[in-house]
Amino acid sequence: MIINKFAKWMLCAGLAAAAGTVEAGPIEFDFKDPKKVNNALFLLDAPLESISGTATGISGKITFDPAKPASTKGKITLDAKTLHVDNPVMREHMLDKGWMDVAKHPKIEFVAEKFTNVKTTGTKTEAKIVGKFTVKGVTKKITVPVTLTYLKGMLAKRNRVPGDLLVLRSDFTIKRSDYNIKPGDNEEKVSDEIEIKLRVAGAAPQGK
Amino acid sequence: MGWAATGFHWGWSKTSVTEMQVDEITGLEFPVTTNRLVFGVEILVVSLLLAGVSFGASFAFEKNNSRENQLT
Repeated sequence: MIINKFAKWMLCAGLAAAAGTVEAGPIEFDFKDPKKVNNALFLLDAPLESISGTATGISGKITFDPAKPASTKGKITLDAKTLHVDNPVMREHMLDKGWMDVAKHPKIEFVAEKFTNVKTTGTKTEAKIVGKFTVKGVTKKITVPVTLTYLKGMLAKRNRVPGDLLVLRSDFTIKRSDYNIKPGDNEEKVSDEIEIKLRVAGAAPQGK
Repeated sequence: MGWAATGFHWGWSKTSVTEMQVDEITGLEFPVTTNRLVFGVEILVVSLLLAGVSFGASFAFEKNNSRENQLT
């Protein structure tokens, strides 16, 4: 009788461990967000008022392993047509041939290749990502700081679907001259440096 | 008046206003854009220039009228 109970207990423990093993490992998070919460803010210094804009056309996938955050890899893509500033003339110029030429270069991409200086505290991981950043057809290798927050089981609260969320925040600066965006032109009116703030969350529904 | 009515905006005119909100679950700040016309400082400058030109022109016409009155 006791042996029988022990065998059942062992079986349950084994199944639980097996389930745990299946659940662990890298999780793929999808950053496509129809609610348009995922966004990138950009800021350029200018004499009368700083040019600040937003973009919400974010998509991409990132593979994140809660046990090995350093192995994180993936790609975030921004639809350049969704770049927005509140002044209509400025918006037209920004999207036009001279500046971003979105008709010819519709995507802005960041491909994460390597994580360094990884520091994990609870659900939060801080690191530097080495990756390839492509703007207006020009690709440069850059290193940017990133904070990842793994929200286990929180997808249910957001989308009423069981699963996890991965929140990614990154603030970095690029030079427009590096990406062939009117290099050396009008720098007294529009700064060469562009501050970028990326605020995105990816979803990983369970069973996918 | 229009410039004052749309909020004394010291930047350029804009046809939309973007405000930031916070997503409760993720804590992410995200932009919410609403279409709203806000007159910028260029409208104020043009209005002041037009007012100045009109003011100056009014004096010119006043002199001509007074001369015409003296002649008749």
